[in-house]
Amino acid sequence: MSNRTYPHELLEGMSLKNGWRVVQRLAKPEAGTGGTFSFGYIAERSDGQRGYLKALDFFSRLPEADDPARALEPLLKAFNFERDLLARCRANRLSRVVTPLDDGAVTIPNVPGPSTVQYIIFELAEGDVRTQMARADELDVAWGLRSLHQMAVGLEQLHSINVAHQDLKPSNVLLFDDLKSSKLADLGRAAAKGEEPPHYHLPVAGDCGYAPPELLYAAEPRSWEAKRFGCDAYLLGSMIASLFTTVAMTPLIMMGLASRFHWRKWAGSYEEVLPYVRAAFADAVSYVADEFPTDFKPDLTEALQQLCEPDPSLRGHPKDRPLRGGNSYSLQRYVSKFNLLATMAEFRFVRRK
Amino acid sequence: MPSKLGNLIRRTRRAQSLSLRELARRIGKSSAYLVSLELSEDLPGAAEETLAALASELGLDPDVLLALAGKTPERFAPRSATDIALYRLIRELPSARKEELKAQLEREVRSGQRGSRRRKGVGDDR
Repeated sequence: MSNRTYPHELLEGMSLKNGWRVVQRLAKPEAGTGGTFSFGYIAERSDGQRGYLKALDFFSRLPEADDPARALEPLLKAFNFERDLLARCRANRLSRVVTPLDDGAVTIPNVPGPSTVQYIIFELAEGDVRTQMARADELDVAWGLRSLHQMAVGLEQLHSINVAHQDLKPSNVLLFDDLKSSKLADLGRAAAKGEEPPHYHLPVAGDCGYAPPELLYAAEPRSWEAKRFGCDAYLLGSMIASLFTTVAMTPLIMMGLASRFHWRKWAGSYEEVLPYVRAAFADAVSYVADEFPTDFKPDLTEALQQLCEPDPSLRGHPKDRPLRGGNSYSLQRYVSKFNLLATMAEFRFVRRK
Repeated sequence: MPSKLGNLIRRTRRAQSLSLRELARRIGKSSAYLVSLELSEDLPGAAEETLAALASELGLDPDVLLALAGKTPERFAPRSATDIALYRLIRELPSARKEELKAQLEREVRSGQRGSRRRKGVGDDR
């Protein structure tokens, strides 16, 4: 990218529609897995509400492109897909998904070339799960379980409108209300049934450091539900590992595999490598389970085993298998279980005080 | 496959009921680093000071951790052809003979240190 300044970098101090004003430019973010590039700002409305403004960058990479018109097409498609998805989430009042407060476009004066910047303003979070994970020497178990419960609710809400998140990881879970309330953010890699965003055909839509093994080994399940909802189920299980060890399930599994079986080196089929992956998975589960508080160990270990099962046909709660007429990847039982565990941990915390 | 070093650290940590986060905090490293040290086949770069801190927290012999990490402390690196020759010869010995030699050398070094202190008047109250 060249060193020139682009319009999306110049919003600080601008007045926007609906009484919004851009008050502060944030540190330059790195490109996320979302594929679109953006700049972050703090915006404030005349009534005092503050929001996180994401200014989309469609133009800075175009001079490097051989065919700028073609290069622009997927960026616009991805942005419009995410915007429409967010509108659906807002219309369906998904309480555990970060939805936009406003969106629009603003023209920056005295800038040569294209000078209109598209933006979305979201609720302003106080941090993400990484903040809390890094802050505590010992994980606050009640907080961790409540956060896990709220993540499961967020995924269930998305699944109820046939949307899979596909990129659940600590940086995509934002915290509100004194860090007590968790919501899912960044639908840039989501999938909506019946729609084909630019990342639709990628074997791994989200971050490879978190992705389920079947996708890393290019063994995509045939059905939309198994590929998309199955991925979300795995990522929810992986959040259990992240909360208690700060490391996701995928690297924990990969560390237990001989290097020739690692997904970056393996040239055979997933069926052939699966026994080795499952053995490494069993070791990883046992490693993570050692970090669980004794009282919650059996329940958390069982949830981790079921949600992160490397064979997608066996993933999820056994009582929800298709043979039993269920949706294998339904998260309902985990919503209930995590709620119960969180309530127990909260109750103990209050009694200790 | 975890390394021998990783296995030893994990086993000792668990025996002392120390959580990942707690041990990581005590040695001034991240939990992710400690996970990698305990589980990874390819050891992440472990500085001598980190291994010394781990040994001190876990009550392990720092030399054992250094040996398992394949590290020679800078101050013990061979400085002459004689050092290298001695090292090569000692490696050829059977384990039992190595232990005998170690004990013998330790006695010689200790008596040498006592002799040196006496000559310097260390501990002399007069």
